[in-house]
Amino acid sequence: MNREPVLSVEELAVYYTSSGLGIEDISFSIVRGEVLGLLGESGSGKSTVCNAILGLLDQSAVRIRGSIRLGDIEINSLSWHQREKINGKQIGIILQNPMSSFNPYMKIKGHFVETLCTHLSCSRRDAVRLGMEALKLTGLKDEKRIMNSYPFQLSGGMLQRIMIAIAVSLNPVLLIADEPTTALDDSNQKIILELLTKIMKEFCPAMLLVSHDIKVMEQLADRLIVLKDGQVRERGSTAGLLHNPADDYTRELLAAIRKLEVGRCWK
Amino acid sequence: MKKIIIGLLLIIIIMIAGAGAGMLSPNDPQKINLEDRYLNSSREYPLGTDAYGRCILSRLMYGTRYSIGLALVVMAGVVAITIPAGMAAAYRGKIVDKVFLWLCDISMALPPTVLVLAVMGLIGNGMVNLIFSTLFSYLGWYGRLVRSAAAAELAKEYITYAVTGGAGSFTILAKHVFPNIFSGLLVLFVLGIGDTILMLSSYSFLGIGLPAGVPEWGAMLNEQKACCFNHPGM
Repeated sequence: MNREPVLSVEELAVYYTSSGLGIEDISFSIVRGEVLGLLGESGSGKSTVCNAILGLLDQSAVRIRGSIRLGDIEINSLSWHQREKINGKQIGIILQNPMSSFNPYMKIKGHFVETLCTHLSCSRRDAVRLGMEALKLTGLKDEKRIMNSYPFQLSGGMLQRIMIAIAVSLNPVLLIADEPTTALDDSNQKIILELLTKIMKEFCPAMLLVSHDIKVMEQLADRLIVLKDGQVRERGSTAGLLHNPADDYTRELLAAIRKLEVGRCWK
Repeated sequence: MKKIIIGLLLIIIIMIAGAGAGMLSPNDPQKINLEDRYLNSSREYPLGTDAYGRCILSRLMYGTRYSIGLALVVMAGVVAITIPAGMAAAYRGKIVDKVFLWLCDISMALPPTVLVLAVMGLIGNGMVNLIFSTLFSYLGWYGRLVRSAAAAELAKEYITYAVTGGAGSFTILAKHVFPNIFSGLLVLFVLGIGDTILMLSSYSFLGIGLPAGVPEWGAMLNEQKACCFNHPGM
């Protein structure tokens, strides 16, 4: 397999001018077929890293240093117009809240058509056909009905699978999954996890996984980075880090999450 | 449901009366006949005649065209200007948004009535001037509404999702923001038509805007105010 990194982030620092917070000197790289997990509490800078990669940070409100390379391209210095071509096509995204991530006035079909036609210059019909294939892959039956449904007619778990289908239908080199299971119930979480595992096997993209769910990390992530207040506290292989944390903060965080999970079992 | 039907019937009747005034009205609304002043209702003049002996029913029917027609023109202008401008301001943000809000503030700084009076005083009387000055006085209010609705919509997660999917500015505004804000705004714009009718009528009532003698509801009310004690039937 090609070991060239798909995404390499070097000494990335983002500084919010209004609050003075941000992230400092974060470096990592992901190769094809690898899942890198970002673990950390709320406000630790996980989303900032994702937004920086996607170019979603408001340029007037932040100062960005460092480099973000996608393949050979330095995407940090691209104009927004050039970014538009990369977002969606090369970087697929899976967001946290499937219920609010779809335009309520647009059928599922429309979402597929919009994303696919922007990047592939294909006809509407081709886009729908491609979309149906992607839906089949995610294990959703009844693709025709789903295509003609509005987002509010479908469940959160289904919408999350649709979002994954849209993300993989363009065969991106990098998938960014921002807490893909947080908003879902247990059985749907399991389905999504299995689906993501399957996608890693079949499409072999690089994946940046953001989550604070240890179960998700254990199953998917190959390596982990623990963030706290915008700084890297610890990094290592998933198994090693979860069972044998070296940093005090990591230990504390893991203990807190485990305690929560035990509490949930008792409920 | 019943209320809707009754309201709809009234609107339809008024629309027909206005649109078909040429065929349906019993008399010429402009024809002055000083022998028939202040008549009560009769077969020839169903609602009687005014101080100049003109048929009131005919004038009411023709007046529909001016009152509602002008209001529709003004509101159509408001919609055509505020929706693209408001969405663009909310989307671009920064200096574009600031300039847009300043313009809105200028329009909102004076109450519509005062503003229109001032503008009409400056640029002169006339129907076109009336339309433009009324339009201008409304732009600020509706512009701000459109902008804030669009801004609220732009902050939602599905917009982020569309952006990460690579959607361009036009797609985002036309396909995502517009359909989601329009249903809410439509109600406001339709209610605005009623408001505009009242406002335009009040200018005619004050004797500005339309030339004298034009059968407009506000102007008719003004003319007949003079003799409401002698001839209350009118």
